[in-house]
Amino acid sequence: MKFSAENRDLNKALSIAFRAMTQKVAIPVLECIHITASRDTLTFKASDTELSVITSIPAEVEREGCVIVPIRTIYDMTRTYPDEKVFFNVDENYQINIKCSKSDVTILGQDPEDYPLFEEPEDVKYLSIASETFKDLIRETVFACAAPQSLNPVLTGVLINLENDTISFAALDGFKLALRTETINLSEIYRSGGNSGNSSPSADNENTEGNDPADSGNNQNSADFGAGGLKAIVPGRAMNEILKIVSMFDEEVLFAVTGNKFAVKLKDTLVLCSLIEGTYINFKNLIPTQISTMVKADCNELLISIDRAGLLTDEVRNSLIRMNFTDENLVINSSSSRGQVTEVVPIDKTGDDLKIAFNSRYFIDILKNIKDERIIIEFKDPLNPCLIKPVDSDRFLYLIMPVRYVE
Amino acid sequence: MEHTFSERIIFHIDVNSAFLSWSAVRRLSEDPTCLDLRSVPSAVGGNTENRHGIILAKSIPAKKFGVVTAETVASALKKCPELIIVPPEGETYHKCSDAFMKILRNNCPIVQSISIDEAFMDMSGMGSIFSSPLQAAHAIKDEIKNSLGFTVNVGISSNKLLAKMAGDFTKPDRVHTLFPEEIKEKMWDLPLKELYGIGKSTEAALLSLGFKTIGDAAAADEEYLKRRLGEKSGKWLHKAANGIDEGKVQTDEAPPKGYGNSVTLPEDLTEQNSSLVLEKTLLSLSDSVASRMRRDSFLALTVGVKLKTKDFVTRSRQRTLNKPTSSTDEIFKTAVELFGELWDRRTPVRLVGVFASSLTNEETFQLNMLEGESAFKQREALSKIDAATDEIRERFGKDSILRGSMIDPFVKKD
Repeated sequence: MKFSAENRDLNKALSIAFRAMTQKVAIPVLECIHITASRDTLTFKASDTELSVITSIPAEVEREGCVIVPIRTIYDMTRTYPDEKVFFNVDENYQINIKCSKSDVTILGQDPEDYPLFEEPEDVKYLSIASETFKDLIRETVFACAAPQSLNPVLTGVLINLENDTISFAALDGFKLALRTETINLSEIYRSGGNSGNSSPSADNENTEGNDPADSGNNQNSADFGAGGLKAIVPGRAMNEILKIVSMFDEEVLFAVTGNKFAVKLKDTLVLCSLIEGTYINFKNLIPTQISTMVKADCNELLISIDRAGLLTDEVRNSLIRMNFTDENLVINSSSSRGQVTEVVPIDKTGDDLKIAFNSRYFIDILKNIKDERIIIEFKDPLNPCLIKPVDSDRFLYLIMPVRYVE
Repeated sequence: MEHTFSERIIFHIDVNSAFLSWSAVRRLSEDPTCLDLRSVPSAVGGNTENRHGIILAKSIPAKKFGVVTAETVASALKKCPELIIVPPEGETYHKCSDAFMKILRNNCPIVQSISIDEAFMDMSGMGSIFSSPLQAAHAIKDEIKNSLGFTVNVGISSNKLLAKMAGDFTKPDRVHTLFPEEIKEKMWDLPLKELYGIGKSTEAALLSLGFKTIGDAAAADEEYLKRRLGEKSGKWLHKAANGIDEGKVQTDEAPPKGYGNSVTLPEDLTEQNSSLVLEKTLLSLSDSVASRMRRDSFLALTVGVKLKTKDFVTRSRQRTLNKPTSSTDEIFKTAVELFGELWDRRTPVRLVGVFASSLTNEETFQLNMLEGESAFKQREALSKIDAATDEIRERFGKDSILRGSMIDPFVKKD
């Protein structure tokens, strides 16, 4: 096996693959990356069993072959190389010689037979979505997932729900709920190449043949989504990694659910993620319908005040801030052994005055993701969740449960 | 009259121009050749840039120009144009204060810090360590000066009020006594406002009655003062002006960092006996930890368990709860789960412990939208059971009420 590739391509491919290895796994061989040199392409595969990545780069291949190598070693190596061509020569004992610039390195690879291979799923119909929209959907919900050790596994994931031309991402841990909705154009569906990633899986060209966007606009044609739409629960941890991978690209994102996997395709990269089995909580019931206090406020002003009040709170006391809504304004108070804070925020209020307490961190996590200038906050009473939504749409909806406190 | 440690001896220790001295010491420690702020007119002032801040502390040379604490920087500069003003350094002050208090506590077990830069010490009975109260005061004062670089005043008397008054006599770096027999000479001629603890309104009322000095108040009839100032103030003033104060030096007891209890088992815990022993032991330990927390009105956010194997290897595991608790039941359930994760069920265990930390004394309860009201009600019910148990134990003794499952555990009650 003998090939060469540009270090800038190599380094990017390894940094993408590395994202699939942030979770500790018990299988030592999964600390390796699987490299295939074939025709004019290098294909990398990495997996931590939950999240798997396949990514390809152009290369000059002199002798085809496969090898596996500890990703940490080779990734750290490429990070120090200059922006030049890197030459690889792998002998029959999987000893890998790497030359770049004035550097000459030999590292020990392993027999690729030991690697639990996974392939790009065949005949998958992908939906396309703008990269920014996809990132927003993840970023604005994933923080609300329950911690990985949660007793209810479905809560550790993000629920993706596709109905007609609406896609929503939802996450909740009981203390907060995040729901983000976007309208997408379902007519753009692509079929994957299905050649286990060895061909250049460029979705835009060869993969769309026989799947004219014009006649694939209805749900019958997109079997992977089913006639009634799609529901899938993707682990929150993996979602964070997917967000980082998508952020390395500018182009639109293709995604699909196939079997028990969530698939995301970007140019020469495919990300596969195991879904969480189970039925998601019917959170629609949790959204309060009776409202006794409604407030409009400047989102950034509120965020800054809560952030400041949050500085003098104790985690042991649920990072407690107290809010007092009156006709004139909102007064936010916090105190800890280190001091106390009073913040006054101008608001437009309709309905009853209200005294309520919250964990400041939950408020901050939510407000910092909102790009809208003004928001609406609705309350029923100090024991029920408050609802945060945009002034003029239903793009997002957040719930935060209050903290009950006794002085 | 020669005073000895066989009588009640109280010290008041006060750092001279604390913030200014501490800023000066910090500067000198970084550059021994730099100007000592204490030797020139200088002050620590807030917000020196726009001159709107106030004077927080001033040097003794600055005091001579009439610069007073809490006046504006602009007004101070009018009195003393060459005044050097430096910004406050909170962190430096905390470090200096801690070092200062530490020296006091090393010299005497009963220390009450009353602010960042002053403290009372109850020196009664220190005769085996110091030869006389005066010698002790000089020794402590010099120890602070030599090891920390700043000076203090020490006031000596037989109670806190007089010691504090003595501490405010001429500064810096001085030791003064104000024993009862010295009151007439050293205290009665002072203006009323110098009396420790007198408020602005009491002072104004007394001035309007024609009183000028502490001595005037001391000479007045107690009943008259009570009529004029009210029962409480009148009684206090009569005592204070006569140098009487019964207040104790309250040691600043640090609040507990956590509660824990462990037990060395009469025989090692093994897979065979664990079903009989483990839960009982954990329940008994949890109950002991939780009831002590409830006694002191604390809640814990973190619960942990530890074990020591028969080879004396100690391991522990802890978890942060999503709400602080002092419930026996909640601590016990968490302890059981944690122990299940900690112990491999094969290695024999000789010691088991339960601990709780991250304490708070305010009850906050993060509501959960998935739990609804039932969880909240259940929690309140459990806390009622705990409260009732505590009350019974208070009245009839620790072993008067036990959980049925705890009969015959390995744990000895403490």
